[in-house]
Amino acid sequence: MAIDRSELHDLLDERSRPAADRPIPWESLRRRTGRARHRRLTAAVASAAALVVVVVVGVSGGLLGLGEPDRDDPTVASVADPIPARYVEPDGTVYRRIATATLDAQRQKSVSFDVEVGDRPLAILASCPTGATSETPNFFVRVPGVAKLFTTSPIPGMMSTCDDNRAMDVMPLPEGTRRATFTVETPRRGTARERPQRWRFGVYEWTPPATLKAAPTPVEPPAKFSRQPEFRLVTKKTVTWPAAREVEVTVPYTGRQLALMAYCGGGIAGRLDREDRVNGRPTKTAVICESPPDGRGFGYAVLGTRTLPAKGPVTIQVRVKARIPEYLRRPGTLTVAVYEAAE
Amino acid sequence: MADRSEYDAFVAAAWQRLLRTAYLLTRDWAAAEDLVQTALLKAWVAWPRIGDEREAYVRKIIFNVHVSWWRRRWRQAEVTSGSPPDRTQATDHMGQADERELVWQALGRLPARQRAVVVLRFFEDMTEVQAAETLGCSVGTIKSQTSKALAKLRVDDSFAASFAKGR
Repeated sequence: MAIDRSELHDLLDERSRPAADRPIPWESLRRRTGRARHRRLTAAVASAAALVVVVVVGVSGGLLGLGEPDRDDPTVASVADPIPARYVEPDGTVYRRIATATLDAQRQKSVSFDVEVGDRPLAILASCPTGATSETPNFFVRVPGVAKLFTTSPIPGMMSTCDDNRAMDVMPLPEGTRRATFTVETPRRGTARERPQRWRFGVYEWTPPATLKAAPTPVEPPAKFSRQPEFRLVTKKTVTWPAAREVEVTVPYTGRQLALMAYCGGGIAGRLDREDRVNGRPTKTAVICESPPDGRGFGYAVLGTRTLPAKGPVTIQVRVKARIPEYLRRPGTLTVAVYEAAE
Repeated sequence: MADRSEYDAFVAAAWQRLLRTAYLLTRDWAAAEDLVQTALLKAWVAWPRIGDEREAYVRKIIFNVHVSWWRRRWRQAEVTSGSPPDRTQATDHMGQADERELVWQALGRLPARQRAVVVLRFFEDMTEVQAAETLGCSVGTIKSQTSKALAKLRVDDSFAASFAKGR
């Protein structure tokens, strides 16, 4: 069959026409030119400094590696780009974008797109409109021939990707999956006018570093919190993931309320399942190992009296587990702190 | 450094045309925007030296940067992973739409340079000489790449199968 040149032209014209609907990203362009200007100035200063350094090296007989000149390397994520093509988390895990999509909540109820997937774990990162943290889109993945819907892990929802600008894991897809359909639906609550407008999504596959890095320094739990009653720290313990996956502490119970705070640090924060036990009984309150306390607050659970003895020692176990095996190659910490009410 | 107002005026006037070309090369709107921005940044740095043919200059960068990206494995994998629709594609229920879709898919499987030649010759309507200048190669290369690209579109498995069914 011969290709009709006119038809080919029409096809190319038709497929590229939506460009007319896409606004010029002035902000991004300005950032890029600003950075280029800054690099030029830095390079000029560095050139002047290099003259001095070369003299020093000549005297000592050493070898100086000045490095390659700065280039516009597209594989390096722009810090300002909310959906970068590639970025590296502090623990050395590399996130590489494999697909993107946009959801205009004013005009679309949902957007679906097919993604070719490999064996690496997947994650989704959202560029959220302002004020979007309480109204986030529904997200799920369909795998051909599989009835089950897959969503984010360890909990469904995209709230934390908006809160923390971190990629959320996608539940592991069945082994051998090579293609999956990703769907993002407009938040259901609120009127169309109230809903956040434009969302962008990036689907990523991630690879932990070949060599496990050292775990970051754990964040210290607060010495006290709340006022009525005030909870004061009784004991705390931190272990390093993945060598240890459980913390057990024992505290005396005097009849005053006890509160438990547990969190994970590093790349595993907010990404592992968590299970708490009090004197061997599961509390069923914990779901994920949350991020460490920060300026925005922290979570804790007051232990119910039904799980506690009349008086005596109370043993608390906090266990974390990963649904995605690659987390065994990502360092982190698990901290458990127990508090007692002052009154 | 570029004169800000002059540069902005150029970007405002040329953005849409450049983005269309970049999309046909990358088949991904985010990557296309990234490509155009990369080319515009390079143009901004060289602005005083560009002369009057600014859009041609930027277009040339777009094609060459795209070919260099294609050579990098990550970028190739990204492009071949599909082009998630930013908007629902209009569905034509006639058989012609299916054929057009197959041609579109077949175009996506062409190597970067052959796809670039197709876009230059059949979207930009450039002559072989103009296409050769843009890609920095000989007219003979353009001829051979065009010939190979069109041949692949003709013999593409899915395309051929569809054609066979339709007859």
